Amino acid sequence: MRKTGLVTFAHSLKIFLLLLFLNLAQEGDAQVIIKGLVTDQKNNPLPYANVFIEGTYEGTVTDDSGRFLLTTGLTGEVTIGASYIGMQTLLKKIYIGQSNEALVFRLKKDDTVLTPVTITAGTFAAGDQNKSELLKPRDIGTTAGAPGDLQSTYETLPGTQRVGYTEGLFVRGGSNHESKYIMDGLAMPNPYYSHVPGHKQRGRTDPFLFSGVIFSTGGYSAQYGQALSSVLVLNSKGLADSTITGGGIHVYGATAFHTHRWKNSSIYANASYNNFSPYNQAFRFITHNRHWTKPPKNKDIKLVYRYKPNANGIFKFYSNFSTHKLGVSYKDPLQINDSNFDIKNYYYLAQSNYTQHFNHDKTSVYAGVSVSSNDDKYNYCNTDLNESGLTFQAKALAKHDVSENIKLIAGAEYATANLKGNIDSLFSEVPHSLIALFAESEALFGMKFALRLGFRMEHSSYSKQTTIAPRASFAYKFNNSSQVSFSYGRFCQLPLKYMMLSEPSGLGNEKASHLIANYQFRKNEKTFRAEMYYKTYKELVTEFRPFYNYPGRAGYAKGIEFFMRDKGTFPNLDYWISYSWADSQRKTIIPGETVTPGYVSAHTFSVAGKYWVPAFRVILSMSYNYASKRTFTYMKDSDKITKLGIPAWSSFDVSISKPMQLFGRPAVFFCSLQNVFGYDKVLGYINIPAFAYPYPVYPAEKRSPFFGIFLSMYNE
Amino acid sequence: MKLIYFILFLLIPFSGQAGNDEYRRNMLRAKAMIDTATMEQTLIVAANYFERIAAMNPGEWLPCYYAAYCYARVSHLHEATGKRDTWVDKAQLQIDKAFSSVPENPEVLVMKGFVLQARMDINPMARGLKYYAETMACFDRAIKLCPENPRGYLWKGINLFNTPAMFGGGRDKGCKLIKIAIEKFKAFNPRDSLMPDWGYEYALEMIEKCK
Repeated sequence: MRKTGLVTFAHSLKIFLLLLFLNLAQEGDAQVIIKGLVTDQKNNPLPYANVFIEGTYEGTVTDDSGRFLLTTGLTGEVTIGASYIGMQTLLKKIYIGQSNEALVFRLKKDDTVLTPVTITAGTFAAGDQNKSELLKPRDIGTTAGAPGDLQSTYETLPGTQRVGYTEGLFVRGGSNHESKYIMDGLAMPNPYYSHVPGHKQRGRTDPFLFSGVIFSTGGYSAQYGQALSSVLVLNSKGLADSTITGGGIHVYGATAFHTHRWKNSSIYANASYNNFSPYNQAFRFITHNRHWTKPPKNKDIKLVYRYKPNANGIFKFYSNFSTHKLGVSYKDPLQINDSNFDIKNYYYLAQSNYTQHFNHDKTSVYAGVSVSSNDDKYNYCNTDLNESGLTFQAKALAKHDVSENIKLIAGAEYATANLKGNIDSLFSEVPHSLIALFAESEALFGMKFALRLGFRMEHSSYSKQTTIAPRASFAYKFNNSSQVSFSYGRFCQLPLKYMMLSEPSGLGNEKASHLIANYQFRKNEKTFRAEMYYKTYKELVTEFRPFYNYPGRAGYAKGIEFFMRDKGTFPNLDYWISYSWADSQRKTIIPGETVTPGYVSAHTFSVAGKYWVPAFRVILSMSYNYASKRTFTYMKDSDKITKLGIPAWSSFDVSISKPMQLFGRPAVFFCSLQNVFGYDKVLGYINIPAFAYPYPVYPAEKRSPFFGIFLSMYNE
Repeated sequence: MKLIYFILFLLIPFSGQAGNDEYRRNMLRAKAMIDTATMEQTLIVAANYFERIAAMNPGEWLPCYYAAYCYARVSHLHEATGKRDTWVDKAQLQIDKAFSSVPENPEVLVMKGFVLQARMDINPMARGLKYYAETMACFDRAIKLCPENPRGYLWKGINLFNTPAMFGGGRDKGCKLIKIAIEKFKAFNPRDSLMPDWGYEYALEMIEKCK
């Protein structure tokens, strides 16, 4: 038994060794050399291309002349692949041992097929995720002009009118009330500080809180409504990266912030205080034609909270509280007394939303709510007036990718608002609500053709109308650098607040339709785009009360725009150039007369650039803006049409930022000068109730200097 | 007896150990290439090898990690050609794969920072603002997760060393961390020969500059 056992063991060992030997011998016998060449479509050799046998560890790399030798012990049918950076991987089936002639892989460029087309008509996207976007969020904060203000950056893009006497985006013949701000899916009412007539205000939003901004000059997505001309879609950042404390002090105020990061949550708190009184005193020699009775003062607190309960979901909370006070006196040469106008504004916005992604980001759901209150207390010629609004909004939407090429979005929105105000010494209150349903699909056919179809249905309790607004866009890509896209859409919105307050029984929706054609060329760091649009308005509300529903309340706008951005030609220089030609008229400024609005210039031109000066380690930023002459039309003695010319306007703004060290901490010194050449002609005319004629507005300051220092501290 | 032969015969090719050995053997071969690589070609050959290993072993993060390392280094060697972004893209693709399977791994975090750093180095003036904080956050997190790992200190130190004091960096700050890294390297003992062990020579080179 024992002997047998040993013999058995020895025997099995022999067999084992034999098997092993056979195995090795077989391997040695069947060594085959596969020869080949890897080239591009023009037969240029590709050195260091990866050549591999699919499903094995075996492979090699091509030499300088694109040739490879691959030694393998495999036999039978195998798949050999060749891949190269920027090229499509090519696979070939061969039968080892049959014929071993050289394999030739001619690889195609990746970019002719791989990047899908995107719809660009009417859209300027700024973001970090996508390389194809035209602006980066930091461009918005660092363009010369009003420091850190979104508006002054967007005024350097084509399609916008630079209007000096009031805030807001005037897009393609549309007034500022036709543009809306959207933050994380929800409308942001009152995005600017409240104004007194003729004094342009800053926006309330801090551009550095957003990771992506989409500026649409028309034909925008069915997800948004209540804007006849344009939407500015702001997408806020997720969890803060790290814990930082910082602050700054500048010529008219100070700001302090703290960001705290925990494992799954973060908080950001910011408080700022601005007071223009010392500034106006100090720069008295350059202030111009503005008679402050109360120089602007404001306090602003922002609180942002983020929570990530799981890897694919995020809760966002944003709140902003601010008070703002100012007063000016309007000098009237015909009247003995000046007209004083004061305003106190109290503003609050709180917004929460939650987004959850499912099954590998193919499906996501979003729900958001917001509450906002805006209270303006005016004092005009010793009479107290008030205008306030309380808005509540809720929105839910779902996104689903049916396949890689078909995406669907559907959702619903509800908003209720209570407007209150004095109209001609009478108090009026207009509670109203709005319900909207929307759906949109985006389909990609191959990689060259994209189609987006959407509709939006809205019902407003104020207009008592149900509107259906269809939207359609498509894009076609010729190659990876050039493409065309077209967009069509219908849009509607409720009339201006003062119109609603003076007509509590209801007015109809104002309506517009957009038709846009866009051509875009992009190569390396250069972009060129041209866009043409035609926009029609109908059922606009006429500007004067007895004529609100005057017949023929229509209008149009048409234009051509060019944009060019170049980051690559000159070292350390990044600049963009915009030109727009616009023609717009409407019948609602003077009832029944076709008139060009006073904010429309036929030609608008802008150059903005940033230059890093290595010798001084500073960033120099400059922008030049030009708007051709405009005409303000008004009715004198209620029957005589009078036109006032507004001369061509230009402004040159410069800013310098210098990164430096202060108390051992990183700091930035920032200084800017707006309107370097001291343009001081009339910017426009406004109607002030006490005056029989339109009041001319001049620049607040002949030149506006600003400087400050900003410090940040990392808490490790 | 025939049964034993039969079982033996079956066991040889199908043993689980055999599959793992195949992975280890290939990994060690590829890793040996990068330990000595100074030339672009060797790095690309190694990177391609790691990619093939990654394709064969989809659950493993190490081959992706090393492929990312090779591509990031290739991007450094491409100084003049303007092709650096494409190589960093390749590195990014690999490290993202590794990161998605093991997000809280200190070595992967260091590599994520290393790739971001390579991206930033292409144009520090334009990209510093965006990538500096993110890069540092990777190294900080790696140090926090594993205070014994020398590579987090080394790369944070090198980053600080190369960042002007006015941007929050500085030679002294950097050298302090590089010194810590040297100490950690002396004490560091990778559990497994496949695990990352690179960087000591680089630390020594840097410490010379600190003197």
